[in-house]
Amino acid sequence: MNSAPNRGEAASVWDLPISQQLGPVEYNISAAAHSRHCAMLDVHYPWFETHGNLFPWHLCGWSRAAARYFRELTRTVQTNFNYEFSAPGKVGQSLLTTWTPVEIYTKKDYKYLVATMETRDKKGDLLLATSSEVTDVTGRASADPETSRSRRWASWDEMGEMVTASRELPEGLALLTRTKGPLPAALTGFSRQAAATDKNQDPSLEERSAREIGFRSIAVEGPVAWEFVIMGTLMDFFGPESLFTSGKVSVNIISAAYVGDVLVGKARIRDKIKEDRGLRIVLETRVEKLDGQLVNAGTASAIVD
Amino acid sequence: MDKESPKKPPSSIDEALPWDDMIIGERLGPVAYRIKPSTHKKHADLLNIHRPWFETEWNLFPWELGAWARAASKYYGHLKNTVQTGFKYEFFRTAKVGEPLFTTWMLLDKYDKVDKKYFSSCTDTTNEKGELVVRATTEGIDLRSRGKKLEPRSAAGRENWSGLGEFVPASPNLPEGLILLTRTKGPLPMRVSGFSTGGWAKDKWEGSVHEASYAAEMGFKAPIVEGPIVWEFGILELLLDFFGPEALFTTGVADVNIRGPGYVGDTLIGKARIREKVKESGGVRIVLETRIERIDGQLINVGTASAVVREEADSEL
Repeated sequence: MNSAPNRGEAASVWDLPISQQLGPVEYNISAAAHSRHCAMLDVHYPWFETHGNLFPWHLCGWSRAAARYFRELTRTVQTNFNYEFSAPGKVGQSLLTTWTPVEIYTKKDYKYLVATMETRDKKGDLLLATSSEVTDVTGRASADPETSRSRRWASWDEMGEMVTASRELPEGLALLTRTKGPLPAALTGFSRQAAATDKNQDPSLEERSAREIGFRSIAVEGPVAWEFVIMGTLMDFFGPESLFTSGKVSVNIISAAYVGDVLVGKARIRDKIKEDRGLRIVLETRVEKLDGQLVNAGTASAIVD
Repeated sequence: MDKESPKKPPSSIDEALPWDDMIIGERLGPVAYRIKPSTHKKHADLLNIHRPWFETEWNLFPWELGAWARAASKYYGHLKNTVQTGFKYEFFRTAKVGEPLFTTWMLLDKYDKVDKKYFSSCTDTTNEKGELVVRATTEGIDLRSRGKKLEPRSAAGRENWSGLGEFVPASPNLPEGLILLTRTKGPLPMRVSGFSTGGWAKDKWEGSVHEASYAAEMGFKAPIVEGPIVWEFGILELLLDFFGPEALFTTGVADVNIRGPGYVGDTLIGKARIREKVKESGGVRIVLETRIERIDGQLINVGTASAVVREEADSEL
């Protein structure tokens, strides 16, 4: 498997033919990278630390597939992501990720790109299907995205209950709200200096680039902010086996989260849906800052036997 | 030391703590106990501490090792009308879920301070071989001598520090004054009753500060979470990341003064910075100054935590 990708004739990601699949790119996550991710996110469940199961951020292969084809993807900000888990992936396992742009469009003068990714093992079995929307930040005015886009719709204040998923739980039940900080960035941890300016123009890596487009500081990758504060709630509620074999996650990123932020993770039961494999419990999820500012909102679900 | 052998029967839980009968220097026990897997798991879940060290290697938490409540209550009931004002752990070796442990409890002192009655005690927990696992000393106050007062409030401003801090493991080369990564975590649970804001059941725990009506009677706004639980929740993981569990639970010492109450649902900020480095045989003891504050700025506890960092380990880095 050639891990040096060929991106065809397209000069830019924005010129890419829709539905042209790129890849697969082969990669594996080293034990050191995995251990560092656990430590940074302060997520130490044995599922990850002892059994070597990968985090969604590593499993989806975003930075290892798409970003290797098109450097300018580092000048984008993620606005949405969806995960559909089929099977866990392990530290050191060979993983193959394909990347397919499915839509490019303009909204309010900004360009958006929607792409799908599939991560499979060497046997070809699907582990994770991902879709993601990004927006181009090149040339954006210095309007602060966090203030222009944040909303406080439909939040709730209960502390919630620490319960495990079961059929009997009522819709509307709030799960235990968790507060956690400080938020790290995936690659640069808690450093606010981050990576060298001349090497990166990514607002999640380099502070000057972040400030140029209106962010207050280094904006943490949306899926990392989500993993940091919601993953524990989902692990505790669904259990890792159910989450990583039947889980579905859909998250809209509403505003930026920064290195050092303290985040509040909320979840409540929105729906219960009968499926062939069992009952799917759908949670409504929200990540907020301490002042109530909404960082992301979405759903997360998994099958309860 | 293979079976539980209280020297005198426990008092009724309806009785007040018999201060006059408590004999300084009398060692009570040993009281034998084991921590069940389900109890341990509940503790890990409530504290939201899901580390292999505890969850799959089954090592016990400090609270489970320093069993003063388990021992003292055999003799004096539920230690009614008391609240803890400080505690100290000295860790010598690890112990596991299900392992037979034996705890002795000794009253070290009874004294008056600012018109209030205090007591201090020492609890030694040993394993089946008679090896010391942990020594826990604790100071408490008789709330009846305090009377109803507004809850204590200590501003977090004095001797405080700010800054995100650094995420580093312990090493003899780290400078004194270095601030470690400040962590924020919530919600704080109660040990028995979890996240119920009502605290412990009144019919079983009358006269306990962990029960709502008595806590209110004593001027607290809600039932108080046990000081060592607040500490475990707010700062234990910082210490685990810095020292590593082996060093912490074989050479560690934590000395904590409780300055304000922690309540169910609180969001806590755990802080630590390097106060000093002391040479010991085989390494350097790094002493951290620790603080736990509530997110509204109320100081909850202050203290120190230290463990020995092996010098040869550092040279491999």
